[in-house]
Amino acid sequence: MTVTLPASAETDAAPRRRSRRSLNLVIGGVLFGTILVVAIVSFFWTPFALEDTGGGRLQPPSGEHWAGTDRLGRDLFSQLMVGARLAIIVGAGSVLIAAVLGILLGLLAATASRWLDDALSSLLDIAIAFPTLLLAMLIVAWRGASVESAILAIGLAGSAIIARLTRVTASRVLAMEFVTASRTSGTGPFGIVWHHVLPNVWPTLVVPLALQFGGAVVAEASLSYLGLGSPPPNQSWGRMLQEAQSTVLVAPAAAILPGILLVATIIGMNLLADGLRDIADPASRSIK
Amino acid sequence: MTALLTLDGLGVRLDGHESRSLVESLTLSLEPGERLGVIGESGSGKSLTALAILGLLGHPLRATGSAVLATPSGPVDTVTSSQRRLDAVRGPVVSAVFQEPLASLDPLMRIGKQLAWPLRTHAGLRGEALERGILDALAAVQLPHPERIARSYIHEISGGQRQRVAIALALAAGPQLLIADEPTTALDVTVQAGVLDFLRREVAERGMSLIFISHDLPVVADITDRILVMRDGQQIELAPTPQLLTAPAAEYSRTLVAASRALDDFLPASTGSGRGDAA
Repeated sequence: MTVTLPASAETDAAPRRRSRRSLNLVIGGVLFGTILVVAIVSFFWTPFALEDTGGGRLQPPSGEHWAGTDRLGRDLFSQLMVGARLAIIVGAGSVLIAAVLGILLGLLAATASRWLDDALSSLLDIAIAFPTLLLAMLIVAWRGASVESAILAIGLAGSAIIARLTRVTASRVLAMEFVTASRTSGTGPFGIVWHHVLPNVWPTLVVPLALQFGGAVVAEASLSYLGLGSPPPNQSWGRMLQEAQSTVLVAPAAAILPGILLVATIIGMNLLADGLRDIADPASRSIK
Repeated sequence: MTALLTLDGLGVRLDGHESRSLVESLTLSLEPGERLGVIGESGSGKSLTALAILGLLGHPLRATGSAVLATPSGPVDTVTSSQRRLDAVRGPVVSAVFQEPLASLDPLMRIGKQLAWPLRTHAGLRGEALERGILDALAAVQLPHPERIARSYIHEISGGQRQRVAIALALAAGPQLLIADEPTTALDVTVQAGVLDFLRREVAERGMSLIFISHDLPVVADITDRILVMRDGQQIELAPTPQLLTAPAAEYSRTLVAASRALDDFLPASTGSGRGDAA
């Protein structure tokens, strides 16, 4: 009766795991929060204007130009700040598109009749198999290179994965007994989806969506590197990398710094995602 | 005719396998306030019958025949009615409690919020009246500290409390017929006795009809007026409870009664009457 070995083993391990999770949350929050603050500040203030070419060409970092200058004599720190702004805007915008479109499509497939579900699922499979960059090029060819094109392309590509995930999780939730029980107590189909399915699907979507944010930042950098991102003078980390490529041996800071910021943003977001999972799921949160 | 529920040849079939039926032509009627027991072994079609009456059979299962509920707005056949019509019936007319309370409540929604939906849509409660309605519903199923329970998630309360919450949810819209599908099977014996007592009192006080499904004959006999014996989806016998216990007509019913009597005989006389007292 008093043997509680498995329980006590669990109670020993859980707090340690939890404290590591909350450490992740803190580190991720600090990394991502810093980038976010820099992005917001860039709207009001940068050390130099982006068009200001008066700094001397390819200067190393100094008291005046904290990150040095590029081959046109523009201040790199200002460019990095504006790049952070673009990264956050593209990340947030595309994740929003992916979440709204993906969840709607996924819920539709999960609740629709069999043939509509099959049709949607096949379409989603094709969409997932389609390379993101190729889709982006098509959209750029259609609408021209702009921030909106990049957001649209990355968001559309992400929505297919979110839709697939939503469909699978929602179908599983719909088959659960509490849905039947809730129906017998008089909850209609809309109430079921809104009150039971969505909250139960959400925790499984938080992490993939947060990971997609990181993926979107990389995708934007790739597009800009290829010249398909936002046009000048709006600066992107991806285009900074591309511009620094030819002078990387003379002025390495211009290539290293955007790279570090890209990695920091993605790591920050991934750690944040890990911590967010606990907040989204009260059952795992209250394991004592 | 004042029957609350009339089954006429109610059956359950598997789509694509028209020859094979899982439940076959049940015919009976249930008066308001009557308590009917349904007994049979696992796979005898008891739960399918319950889902058919609720109009909740999902693909690939399909109901045949008819199951007519008398509602304030006229009779509703749950076999043929649209889901929209059934949404209006489930809750205020017919409702159900299932076997596993942990599975029949949403793990991610606070208990108070789960109760809010039927109270809002069917009883029309809003704002402060809704808050009070939730606490009243929890107090009605004799849960201690309704305020605390309303704020809790289901993993934060005990198994017996969960089943009371599930019953509160089923009763929230004030149904005239409650279908209890093995509501105490997942609970231990003392908690089971408490829940049964409570269910009996609640049914009597509200003047509800009850369909009590179980494979446990003594439990069913304890709480019902009439018993339907099922086996392999067939109606074996339908008789008043005392008659079924003393003079079962069908061979299978005799086996069931003999089996529970054998257990009673095996136990010392004093423990046989313990059922129902402990809570």
